[in-house]
Amino acid sequence: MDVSGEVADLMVKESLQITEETIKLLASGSKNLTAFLLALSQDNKKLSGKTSMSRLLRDGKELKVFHIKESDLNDFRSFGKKNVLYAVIKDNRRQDGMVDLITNVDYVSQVNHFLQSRGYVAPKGPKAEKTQKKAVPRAPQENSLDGRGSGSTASRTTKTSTETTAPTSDKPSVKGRLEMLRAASEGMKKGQAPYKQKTPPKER
Amino acid sequence: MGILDEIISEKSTSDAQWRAARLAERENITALQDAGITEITSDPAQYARYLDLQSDNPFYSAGNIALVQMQVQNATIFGTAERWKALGRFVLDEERPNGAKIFTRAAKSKGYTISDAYDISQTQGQDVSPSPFLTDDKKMANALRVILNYTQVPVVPDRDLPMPAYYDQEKLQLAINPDAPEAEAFAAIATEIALVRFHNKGRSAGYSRADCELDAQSVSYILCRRFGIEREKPDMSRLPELYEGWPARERRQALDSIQDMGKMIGASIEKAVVPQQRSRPPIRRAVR
Repeated sequence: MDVSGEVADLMVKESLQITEETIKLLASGSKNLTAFLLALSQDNKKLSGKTSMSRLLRDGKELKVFHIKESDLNDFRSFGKKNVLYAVIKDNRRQDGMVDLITNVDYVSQVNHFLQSRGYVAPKGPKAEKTQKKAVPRAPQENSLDGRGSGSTASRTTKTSTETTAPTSDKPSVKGRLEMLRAASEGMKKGQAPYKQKTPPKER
Repeated sequence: MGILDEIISEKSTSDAQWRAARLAERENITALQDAGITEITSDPAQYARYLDLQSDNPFYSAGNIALVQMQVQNATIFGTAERWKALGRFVLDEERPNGAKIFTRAAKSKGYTISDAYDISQTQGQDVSPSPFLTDDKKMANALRVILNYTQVPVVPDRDLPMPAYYDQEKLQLAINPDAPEAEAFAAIATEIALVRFHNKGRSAGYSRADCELDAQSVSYILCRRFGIEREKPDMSRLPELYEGWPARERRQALDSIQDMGKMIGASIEKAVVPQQRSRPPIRRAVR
């Protein structure tokens, strides 16, 4: 019985399958390569740490401006390396040793946390005045992002608020204390492990 | 115009009016709550009254306590008509229109609805059993055991300590004077445990004992009053300063956190002190 015809068919079929798989692999590879090259060209590779203003502006998100002491910048650099995408603008004419730190709205809470831990106080915004005029608010309407970083966007920095952060006085910080209270009650709800003292093994 | 058109237009008008009335009522009550919370956190006398009311009603939120405090002059223990019914009491008919408006969870939907709450004096029926008082040594020992379980730091005995308990934030340890009278020790330990939780092993960056003292003492006061332990009112001299510039919403959240802590520790103590009653398991009969 002659089987050479069947073998030839099988070989053709196999080679077709191999070609098909090769084309599929090449296509997906080239797609990934294109995405990679596109990301490279857009300079999106940096997700946290110090970056340029143009990179922040390219994101199209609202920008926030903070003022911190130049001496605290090194600390912030190590903090922001993995947590915050930011740019620093240093004005050489400035004599007070402060620099502008610009980030987008996504990182405001992290920057606030850093500033709070370094003893900066939140600047008083115009809302404080409002509350004084209006004794009793009709309904809760406060923005939780009140204070630092809620100033103007970088694109409008010609009129940047002149708010500066100063070292903490004796007055307790609203956010800090409230966060602490919340964390304490939440921690208890989650049943954060109470401290267990080690008991010595029983002796016979 | 047909009669149906008239009915439909009447209905839509009355629906719109009803909706507007509900909205206005909700807004008024929210405003009243905010005003109450602001008053409580600004005036030491109101804060003291709030602490008493919160201790007597540990399961109600600070917002509801503020609402009742603003609406009922001498409120003590309060609850909705359903709650009183569950406790074997009923609201007197003549008192039905005099309920205080509070927010309660909606039974069938998400969110909160407005309900009437009545003071115990507006109801009649079975006696309400208060939380167990830590009168005997065994109960007190159990309560102390439970409360100490909430510490996140090591507990060390210190007989030379000039006070019953002290949380050392530098050494991260809670020192307790074993010679202190038990009631005093309970009050002091409750305060220090609250401080321990606020400090959270040093994770809370803005922690300062001076700023947290009133909150910690409030937790302790709520627990002491609930379990019949006498202790003086917290030092409220810094109250207006501590809440100065806070919006009403954040003041309420702060009070809610204090209430939450008191409620959780209190529930654990109650569970440890009150003997658990086990119901008899149902008899399973073989079914053919």
